[in-house]
Amino acid sequence: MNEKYTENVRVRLTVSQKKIVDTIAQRENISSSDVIRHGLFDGKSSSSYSIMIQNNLFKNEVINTIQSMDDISKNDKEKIIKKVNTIGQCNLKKYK
Amino acid sequence: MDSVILKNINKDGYYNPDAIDKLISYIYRTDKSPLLIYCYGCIEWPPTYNSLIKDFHSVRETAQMNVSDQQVMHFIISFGIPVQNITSRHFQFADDIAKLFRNEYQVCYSYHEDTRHPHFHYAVSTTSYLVGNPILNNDRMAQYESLIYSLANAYGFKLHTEGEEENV
Repeated sequence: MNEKYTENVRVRLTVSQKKIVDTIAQRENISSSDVIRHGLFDGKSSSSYSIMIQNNLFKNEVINTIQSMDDISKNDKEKIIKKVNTIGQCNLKKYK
Repeated sequence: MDSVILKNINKDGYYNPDAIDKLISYIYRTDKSPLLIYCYGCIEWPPTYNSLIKDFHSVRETAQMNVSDQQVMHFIISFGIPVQNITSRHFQFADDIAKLFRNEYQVCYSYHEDTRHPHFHYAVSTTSYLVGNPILNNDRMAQYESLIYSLANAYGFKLHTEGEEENV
């Protein structure tokens, strides 16, 4: 692919993110731009597990919060959790 | 001010191949009366005891670098109050501790009330699910413990490490 590059784009990272980019750049002997570009646009360099984990973090927080609430009944908790567990899943039977 | 004890239980190392299986089964009491799963970092949804074990192993097995011989970190947060005084605020504090780890490491925890004082057991993977991220070693764990101290202060809890006050 011989697509032209744009002018430099400024990216603000957290300290830990910068550390990860620097570690990989040093290990692979490539620029930080290459690390970020590949991380965003090259599926082979992304960890599918990390994407799945990150996708589930919000749902984890919702479930953890519901389970620890002391002002709703156990039955209501179970109903909500059952519903949350289906978020993101396509129920094909529903549309048949 | 509620007192809280942080007890780091890593003297035995958790180096054995079934360390993840044993620790997760232990903290959730899967052989007695299984406890609710609280976690961050699951691959399968919804998480189960077995899927959590599998997910911790999967991240270790696919990590290309930065894999520690010690597979998991285990620590306890114990509150110096009777079990009946536990509130959602204590659970929120427990969850905020897990959140400190969640952006780098898989973490799961459980709530126990089988002793005089309510407490939470944590199992944190030493292998980061982020490519190229460092392992969770004792130095990094010490940094996390500092964050836990700050968090406890923000909640108005007085945090001790094991030995300063016995209540686990």
